[in-house]
Amino acid sequence: MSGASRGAHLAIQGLYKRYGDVQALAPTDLDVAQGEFFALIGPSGSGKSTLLGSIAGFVPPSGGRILVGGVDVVSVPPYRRNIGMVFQNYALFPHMVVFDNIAFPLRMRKVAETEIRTRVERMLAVVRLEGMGARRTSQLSGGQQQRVALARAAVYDPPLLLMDEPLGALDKNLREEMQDEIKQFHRQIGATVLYVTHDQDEAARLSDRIAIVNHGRIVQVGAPRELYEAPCNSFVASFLGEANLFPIQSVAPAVDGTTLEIGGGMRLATTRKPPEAATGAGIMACVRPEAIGLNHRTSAAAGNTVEGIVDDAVYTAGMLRYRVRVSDSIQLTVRQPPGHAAHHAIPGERVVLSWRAEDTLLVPRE
Amino acid sequence: MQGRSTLTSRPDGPTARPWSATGFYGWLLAVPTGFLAVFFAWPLLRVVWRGFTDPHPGLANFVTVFGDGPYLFVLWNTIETAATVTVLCLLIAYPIAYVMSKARGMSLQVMAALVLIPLWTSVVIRSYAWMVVFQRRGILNDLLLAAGIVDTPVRFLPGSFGVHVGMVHIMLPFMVLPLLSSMRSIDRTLLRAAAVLGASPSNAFLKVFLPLSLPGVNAGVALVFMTSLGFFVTPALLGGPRHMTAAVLIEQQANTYLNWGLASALATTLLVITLAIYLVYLRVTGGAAEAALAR
Ligand SMILES: Nc1ncnc2c1ncn2[C@@H]1O[C@H](COP(=O)(O)OP(=O)(O)O)[C@@H](O)[C@H]1O
Ligand SMILES: [Mg+2]
Repeated sequence: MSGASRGAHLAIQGLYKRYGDVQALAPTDLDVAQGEFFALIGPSGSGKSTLLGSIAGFVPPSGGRILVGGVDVVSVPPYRRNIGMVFQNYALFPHMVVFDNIAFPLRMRKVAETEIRTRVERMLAVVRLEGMGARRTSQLSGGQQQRVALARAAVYDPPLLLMDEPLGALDKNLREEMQDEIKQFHRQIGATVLYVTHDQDEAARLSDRIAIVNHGRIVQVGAPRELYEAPCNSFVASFLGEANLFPIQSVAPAVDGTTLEIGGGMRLATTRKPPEAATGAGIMACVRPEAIGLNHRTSAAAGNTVEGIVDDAVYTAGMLRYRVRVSDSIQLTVRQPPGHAAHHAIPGERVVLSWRAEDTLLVPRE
Repeated sequence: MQGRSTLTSRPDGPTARPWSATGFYGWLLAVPTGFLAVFFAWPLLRVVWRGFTDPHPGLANFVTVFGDGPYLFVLWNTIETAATVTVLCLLIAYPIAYVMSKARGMSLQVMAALVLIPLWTSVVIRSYAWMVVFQRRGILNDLLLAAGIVDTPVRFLPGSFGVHVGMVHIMLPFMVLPLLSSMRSIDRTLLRAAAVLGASPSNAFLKVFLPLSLPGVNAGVALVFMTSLGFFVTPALLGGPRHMTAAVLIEQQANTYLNWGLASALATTLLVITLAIYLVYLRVTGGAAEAALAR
């Protein structure tokens, strides 16, 4: 297991795929750096698997180029691409024991049997399955099968590793455990990883960068924090994390920023600049739930204060999550760590919500 | 059946047993078991018994079967024919089932119909149809003569060629269907995975598809071989007296010569040989089938 220099640079240029009238993948460009852990996230049917399948070679693209380490592989059959892949349901060979599953890609490459033995044993150690080589795959738990799939995909040192929702079939606790293992695994093998998931937390935990996919297009690419703090449109804002999104009725300049009319007589202050000549129709205001403070009294410093009544309060995994009704048509989500919250509200209570003007983001409506 | 429920058991003494699903389902077997006992096991035992007792108690009938007469030869011929037909069926059916397993929608339905429709016609009619094709002035000879491939009509009948063609034609669906069902249950992602992992199409077939289709091969081979051993009409019509099979021989002994003892001994011998072959086959292929089925 050499260092992190072994990964291949991946470049996608104008790649697209149509199934009859369905455009599964719109012309797409993407650059993934050597050794980078890159996640693709997006709703089901958004074209993630199609993109991965094109790179792996079993989905023939309708056009475009796929450069792995600078070489266009579009016309190369999958078995000569030397790319690793982990499938959602693992796709372990049921008629082979664990050892033979992991040895399969080496045998296909006509590696000598003695070397196969050492490499498979080493891989079994990496995925912490020492001594399990003789087990049937059906005798393994979901997490163990997952690790066999990882070992099998990496044993031949592919410079590019594709993973299509590899943890989709596991329950939440195991998923989080496996996320750490995959991260660890990536550090050890050093390959470039393209990782598909529909779980935004998973993507944020694992990846250097994330691409958000919707309707067969990449909507935005960036580091997890960038995407969260500066979503390029309302889809990204609501897909990545929670967001309070408001349609804007009109925009008026104010002393130190802009005032947004959002209906029901409510106004929001923002320091963000709306696009030139925007009337508000094409944009939305976005406030993250944890940017909002919840209190008894109005705090003077905040640019925005609204009063409301708590509809419900839920405690989940170290977070208090409130739904606060501020008018007939508007309900806000507020999230606070319970330890630090100035006030624990109960349903029916009247509260004041406040947030800074710079926390009112403006995003194009999608 | 491992699902057991212990929720309903009351602790009212040593006789209380937990209610179990298996216990109940066991009763469902009563009717089929009774039916088989009365209409299958009992007659079979009678046949075996008769082989040893008719007309006199003793081994005389079996001495005849294993003696110099034509009987052993006929039994061997039967097994050889069944084996040939099975191998031919497998070779022809495998590619057909493979193509069908990949097909979807309309083309699959058309192919399924082509496989199944012959089953709607009786074996007798289809055997006579092959006579029409193969006879001296039949369609095949007409074609061969017209094409100038032969000068005088070829004598296809009676003979093993006609028997093989006729039997393969009849048995083919029974090979295609089990193959198809086992091939369709193969997860296609496995083949994609094989390709991505470096298996060429031929390697992916040999190392992944073929082993996973073995349960279907085993079922089809067993079904076709066993059925072929008992074939009666087709060999009788297309094979003539020299291509006699066990079923024809037994029928002849029983109905024409009224030699029920010898007929029973022949039937018993055929049964034992069949079982022996099947057990050997299970042993040889058992491991592979079990491995493929263990999911
Ligand atoms: N083999 C196929 N034939 C026709 N349409 C397909 C096929 N595979 C995928 N699609 C369509 O392409 C779109 C993208 O699918 P996919 O890449 O599987 O999405 P995702 O992996 O993001 O859930 C979907 O609308 C899907 O219905
Ligand atoms: Mg998918």
